[in-house]
Amino acid sequence: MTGDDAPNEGQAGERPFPGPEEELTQAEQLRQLTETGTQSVDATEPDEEDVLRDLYGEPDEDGIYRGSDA
Amino acid sequence: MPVTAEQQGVTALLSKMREGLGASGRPNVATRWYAKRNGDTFLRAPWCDMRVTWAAYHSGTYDAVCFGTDFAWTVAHATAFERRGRWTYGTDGIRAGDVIFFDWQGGRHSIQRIDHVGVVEKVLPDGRVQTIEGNTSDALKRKLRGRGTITGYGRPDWARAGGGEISLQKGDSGPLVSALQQDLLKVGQKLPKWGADGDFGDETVAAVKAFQQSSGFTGRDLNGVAGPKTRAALDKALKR
Repeated sequence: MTGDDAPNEGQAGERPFPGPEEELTQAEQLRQLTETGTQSVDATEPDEEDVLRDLYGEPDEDGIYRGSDA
Repeated sequence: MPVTAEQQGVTALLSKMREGLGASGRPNVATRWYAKRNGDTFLRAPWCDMRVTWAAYHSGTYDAVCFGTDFAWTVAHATAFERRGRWTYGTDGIRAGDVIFFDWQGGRHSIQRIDHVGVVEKVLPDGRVQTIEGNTSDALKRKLRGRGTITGYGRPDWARAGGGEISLQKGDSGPLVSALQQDLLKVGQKLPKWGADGDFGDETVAAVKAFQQSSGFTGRDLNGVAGPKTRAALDKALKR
C-alpha cells in the first residue's frame, strides 16, 4: 500500500526486499503494493494551510493551492 | 548564464507534477497510462509512485528519475536510488526536484518501511519541505511535510534527463516552453496570436520550423521540435 490517509490494508512494517540487482517485475511490484500495508495516519503539518496560502495564495473552491504557475 | 541539465530537469519534472493539481480518484491519467504499459490491475491501485513515473516519462526525465523502469511500489523505487548511490536518509541537502519518500510510522532509517512518495517543490527556511504528491487522500495535491515522517530522498541523475538535454515539442507546456518562445521572439520569429504563453501549440511549431529553416536545417531536422541541435542554433543566434 502506498499513499496517505489510506485504509489499513495488510501488515505494515519491514517489507523484505528480495534484493536482485535488476529491478522487480511489475507483477511483484503490484503484489507488494496490494499485499503490504501501512498504518492510516494523519501526517499533515498543523500549519499546512497557512504555509501553502503564503506560498500560493488562496486555494480554489476544492481547497487546492494552484498558484499562478499550475 | 547557461541553463544546467539539473535546472532543466527539475523545471520539466515539476511542471508535469503540477499538471492537473486537484485531480482525484481512480482510474486517472497516471494509472491509465501505467496500466496500458503494465496491465489493467494497476488501474485502481495506489498511485503515488505511478504519478511520479508518469511525470518523469512525460517530462523527458524518465531515465534520470526512474532509471528506465516503471515504478508503482515506493520501496522498489527508493531501492533503485540507493543502488545507484543517489539515496540520502533524512533531509540534509534536500532540494527542489528530489524524489522524497515517507514512512507514516515515523520516518525510520529503513527503506523497507516506506509508504508514500512525492516530489519536492520547495524547501522552507525551517527545513520542512513543500511537495507535490499523488494519492494523497486519493488526489494530486501540494503538501507540507515535516522531518518526522520523511525516510529520505533520491536525487535524480539529471545528466540522464534526455541525455542532458530536453526536447520541447507540440503539446508541451510550462516555464521551459515560455523561455523557448521568448528566445524565438528575440531572434525575430513571430508568435502573433499567443506570444510567449508557455504552451507549445501550432504557432510555436511554425516559429520553430521557421527558425530551423533560417538556420539551414533540412530533412528530418526541419521538424518543429526544439531539440538539442535547435537549442544550440538558438543560443548561437542569441549571441549575435
